[in-house]
Amino acid sequence: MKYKLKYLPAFLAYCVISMSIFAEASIALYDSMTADQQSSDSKATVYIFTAPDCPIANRFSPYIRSLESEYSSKGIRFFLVYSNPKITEQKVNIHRKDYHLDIPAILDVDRDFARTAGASVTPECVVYVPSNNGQSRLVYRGRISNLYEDFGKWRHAHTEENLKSILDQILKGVAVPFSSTKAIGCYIF
Amino acid sequence: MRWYICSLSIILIIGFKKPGFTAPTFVEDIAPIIYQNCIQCHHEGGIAPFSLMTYEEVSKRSRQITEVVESGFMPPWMPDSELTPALIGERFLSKEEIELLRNWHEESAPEGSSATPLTPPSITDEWQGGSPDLILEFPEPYILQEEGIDVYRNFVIPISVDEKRYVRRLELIPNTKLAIHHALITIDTTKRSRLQDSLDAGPGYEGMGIGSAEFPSGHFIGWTPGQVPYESYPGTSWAIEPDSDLVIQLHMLPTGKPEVISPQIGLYFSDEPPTQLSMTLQMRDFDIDIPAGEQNYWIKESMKIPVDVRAVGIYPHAHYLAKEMNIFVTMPDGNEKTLIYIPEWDFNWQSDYRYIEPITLPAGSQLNMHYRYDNSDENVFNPNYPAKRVVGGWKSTDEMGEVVVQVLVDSDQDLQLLQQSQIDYDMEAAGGDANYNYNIGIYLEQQGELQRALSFYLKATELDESFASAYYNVADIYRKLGDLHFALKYFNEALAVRQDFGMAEFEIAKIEFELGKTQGSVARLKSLIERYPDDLNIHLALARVLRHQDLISDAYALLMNKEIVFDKSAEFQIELAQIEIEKSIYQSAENRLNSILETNDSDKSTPGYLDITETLKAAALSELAQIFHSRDNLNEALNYIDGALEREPLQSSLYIRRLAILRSLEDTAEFSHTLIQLVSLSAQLGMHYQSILEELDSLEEKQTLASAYAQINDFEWAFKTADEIIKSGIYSEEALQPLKLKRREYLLESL
Repeated sequence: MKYKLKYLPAFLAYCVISMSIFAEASIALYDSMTADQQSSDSKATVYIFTAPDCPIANRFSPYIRSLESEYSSKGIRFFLVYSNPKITEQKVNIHRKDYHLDIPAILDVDRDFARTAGASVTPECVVYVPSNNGQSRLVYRGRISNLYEDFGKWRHAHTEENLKSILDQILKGVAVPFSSTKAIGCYIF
Repeated sequence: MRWYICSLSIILIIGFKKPGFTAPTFVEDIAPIIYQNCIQCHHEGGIAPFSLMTYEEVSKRSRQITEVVESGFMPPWMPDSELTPALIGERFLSKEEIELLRNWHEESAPEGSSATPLTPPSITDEWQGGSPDLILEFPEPYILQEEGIDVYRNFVIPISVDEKRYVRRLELIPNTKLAIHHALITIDTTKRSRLQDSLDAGPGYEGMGIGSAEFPSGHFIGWTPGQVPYESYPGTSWAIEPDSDLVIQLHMLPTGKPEVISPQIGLYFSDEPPTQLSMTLQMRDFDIDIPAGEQNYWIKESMKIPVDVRAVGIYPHAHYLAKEMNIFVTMPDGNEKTLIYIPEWDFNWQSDYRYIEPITLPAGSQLNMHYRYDNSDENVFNPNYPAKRVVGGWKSTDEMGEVVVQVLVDSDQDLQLLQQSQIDYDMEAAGGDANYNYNIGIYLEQQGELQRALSFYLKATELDESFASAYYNVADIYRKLGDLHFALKYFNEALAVRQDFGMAEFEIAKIEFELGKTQGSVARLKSLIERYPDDLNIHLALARVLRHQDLISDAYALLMNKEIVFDKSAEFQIELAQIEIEKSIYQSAENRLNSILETNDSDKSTPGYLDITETLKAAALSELAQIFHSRDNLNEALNYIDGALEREPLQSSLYIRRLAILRSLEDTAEFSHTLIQLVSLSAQLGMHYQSILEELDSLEEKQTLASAYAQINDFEWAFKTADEIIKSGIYSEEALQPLKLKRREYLLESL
């Protein structure tokens, strides 16, 4: 199985692919990317930055899983991104197994992807859509939902599902301008 | 990209370095702060989500650390340290320390170097007070679901002690990171928590109420992550009795994956019973009624302190909407003294606090509790969105405002005055609130004041005619007072207002049996079993009723059918063994009973039977005595019954059984000796003269009884026995002669 990271033409990409031992989903090393892949019928791609030792990111795991299962069938692709110099394939697999995250993962060892996408904490998500010129366009960066207000300050339940509402807009086919929110979580840098 | 970042930070360092300013380094400045304040929880295997032991671990999170110490989120400590008297285990950083962390982060978190290698202090996840005298564990672990809101659950753990013990210290090892937020430790001597547990699927039972469990007298014991373990104030150890349960209420929060919840509780005993009088004062406001959107809702409560007391601990409590808490004393001279001030309450970090030095509250002081609540959408902890009206109550989405203060008192007389002051406060506060009246009932019942508790429960049922638990408690008190008919009436009321109230129906079935309404009782128990097919107590009750009806085979079939389900219950095994003995299936009964005795005493943390107690072991020994007696192996039978009596010297049935064995052995001297023991203990054993007499066979034995009474100088009963013998028409003047002489002596003495 070959995974190609799409819609990020700012970089050339090639991917080292390996099947995980525990999870069905793949792991790719982020390095740079090729600019050719525009063939996918994906309506959008969601990258969720996460970390095995971040309690806030971990609490979101079941919700991430439910979003993935709801929207992947509607043509939206999901990736987990581990931006950390110390991350290894083994750590990613253990984490995905512990939290039942059967979602393809990207190892962003140099944290270049996080820099490019502007992600600063885990959990934080970025959403890209294909644009007319064959490139991809960033439409959202920020929190998954407003469950957390600050470190140690969480709501009983989120009252704004930011990622979900962006995805719903995309699926409606309306033009989605770029927006961003502040994500609360563990710092990537 | 990387070299760019690096060079940027070099510029920053060069650019902002002031003359004479040296950047803080990890080894010199930061490690001491982190080691002193953070690593107790933040270490590999600790309860915090990540470790902060090494330079790499700390420098990686320098930004997050700086932010959380500046916001006050870490280290977690809610009381204001300036206004609140010094508390045990206080955790806070000074302004200078916070500034050092900020500077260190801004200077790119340098490691620095030191002549001596950096050695973090050793910390333990094991017992901090050494090996506990008793370790209590969950009978089976609870699995916390991965997602959702807070879970409140009560877990019932039998306390395996042979005799009354005094506890001076308690520790809890959570055995999980993050999931357990808070624990309340209570004791139940009634077994009612066990029943509640068995009626709720899975380990433990849900809810924020602790039911029939109570805090150990004069104490309130909690656990919060990172808290210094509970050590009772010198002289205030608390008692635990055999056959009671520890009920631990856990506040848990899902972490994103299923968590195995199986904490251990370590108890440290003291040889010393309490030498200090202590009491817990409680104030609470149940009239809370906060309109949606209200940001400054205040409750204010106060209580008179009629005698000199010294406060040693304090437990302020509210739910999610509380913001600010001030508990203070108005002294007789009008001056005010803060007991605790919490500027920003966070329910997730609730804790009990203990003072380093007791705080004196002189007679004539007034204890005050002022809490502020925010029921707006601005309050991120608000469980309702959009905000809605919230009233007082026990559910986590209801609101609460209470404080418990543990105080030391100088004399019994002072204690009584203080208790009266507490009741006066409660009476005035209760007013027309059903819940409040109910809660005062519970409080009084805990103090052993049944009649007064009854009147509060009854008032609760008047105020709220559908208050099932209040009816239940009314019934329970009537039963304790010996009035079965009234007990039955109110258990029925409880069942009428809550038709699925299994506990009430179970009590009805038991009383029906006691009142001789056996058929009704059987039908009810059978229908309960259909609804609660895996409940041990209902099965045992039905088996006993069936045995009483001589339906031994039915009882046998009932229990055998559940042998696998209840294979961890010693009580179940004994019941089944008794039935087998009645059916002469001796070998199987013997195996069951021996397996109970083989349960390892020294390793109480992993008993073969979960409910094993000395009483049950004595019962097993007694049944073995019965088996050997029926096999005519009388010496062995005697050994077993003596083993039983060693464990339970106050159980009348054991003496009766011993007498029967001695009768078979024809050991009249020992028979007489045992009978003397029985009559001298009869008051304590709760055994009446008539029932002792009924157990005796022959004229000789009855005469022995008369002599036994004479022997302990109870001539009234000696002569009653003699009269009984005379009435029966078969008496020997010779045998009665010594009694008559004794009586004369006794009369002479009394003259």
